[in-house]
Amino acid sequence: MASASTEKSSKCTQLPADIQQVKDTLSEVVHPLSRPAINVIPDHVLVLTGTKSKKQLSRKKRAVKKKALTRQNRIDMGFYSLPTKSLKYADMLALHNLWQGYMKEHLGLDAMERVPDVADPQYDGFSKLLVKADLHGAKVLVTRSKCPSLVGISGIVVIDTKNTLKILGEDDKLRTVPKSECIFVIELGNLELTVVGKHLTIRPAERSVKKMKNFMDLDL
Amino acid sequence: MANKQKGCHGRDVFSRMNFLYQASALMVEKNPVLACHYGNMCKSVGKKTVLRMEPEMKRTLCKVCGIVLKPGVSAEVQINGYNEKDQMLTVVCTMCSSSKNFVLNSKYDMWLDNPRSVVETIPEKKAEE
Ligand SMILES: [Zn+2]
Repeated sequence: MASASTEKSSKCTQLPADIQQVKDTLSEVVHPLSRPAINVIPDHVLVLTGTKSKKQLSRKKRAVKKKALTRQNRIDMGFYSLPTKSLKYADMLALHNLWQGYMKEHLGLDAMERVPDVADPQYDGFSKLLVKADLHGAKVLVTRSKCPSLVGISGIVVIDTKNTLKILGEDDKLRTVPKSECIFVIELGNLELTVVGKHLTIRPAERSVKKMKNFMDLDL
Repeated sequence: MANKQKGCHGRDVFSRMNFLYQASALMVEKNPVLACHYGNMCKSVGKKTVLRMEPEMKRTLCKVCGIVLKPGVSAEVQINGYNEKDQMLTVVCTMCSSSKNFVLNSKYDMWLDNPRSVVETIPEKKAEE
């Protein structure tokens, strides 16, 4: 009687081990007295093989990963639209002071009495250092430009992007100046360093890594 | 500069990151958007040059928006958990409302706090030579 209730018949081939397994499990279930009556018919045993489906496996909850901000989030928070009038020049002077300290350390001006000349052997290294420096907080003046209306803009650099500088003038107005068309004079204490804007057109984060190639010719 | 790589490797990059971090900390109260920008720049410079920040310092930058988490100004700090064992310090950024959790169990220390983690100290004088 027990044998009838085992499994449905099929044409699959069975191993003797499978049949033994069925017998063992049945004898555990059935009343002890009727154990000798167990008779497994090999044709009636079907072995089902397989693994868990993928859906079952992925049912576990995954920890929610913290996501970086999307562009829309950044726009909503006002990252790209700095208000042109809310910044105060007086507030930025503190940033400028901080920048001066950083710049002196970066260029090693304490050790040197003066800036190397064009003929000096250190000139090449010095100019590379100057281009690699961070410009946030620098006092900048546009001396020459392809576009005449840009000439004379001065102030503190607030944001540095690949192709532009956002400069906060003394009249608390934020102006965006394209780098590649201008020549800037950077004011550092009593020094004035002239930098060609075209050499600065690197993303600020990559500036420390990128190797500077030979400075290309200018057309201004 | 003849000896550009004086001191340790990437000295100029570290000083740049330090400057950006300080700039971010400076602008937190006046203009949080700018502070986010500088903090993010500090993180991305570190990523580009494959230089690590000190963990204690890294934990004061918001993971999502990059602002310096200054308690009371740009972050809300609270301790939750009943047992002393599983108390957590939760820091919530007010800019992007993301949160950070730190274990307060004094049983576990950071490896960097362990004096055995120091391999070699580069003396300051040597760097200036
Ligand atoms: Zn945040």
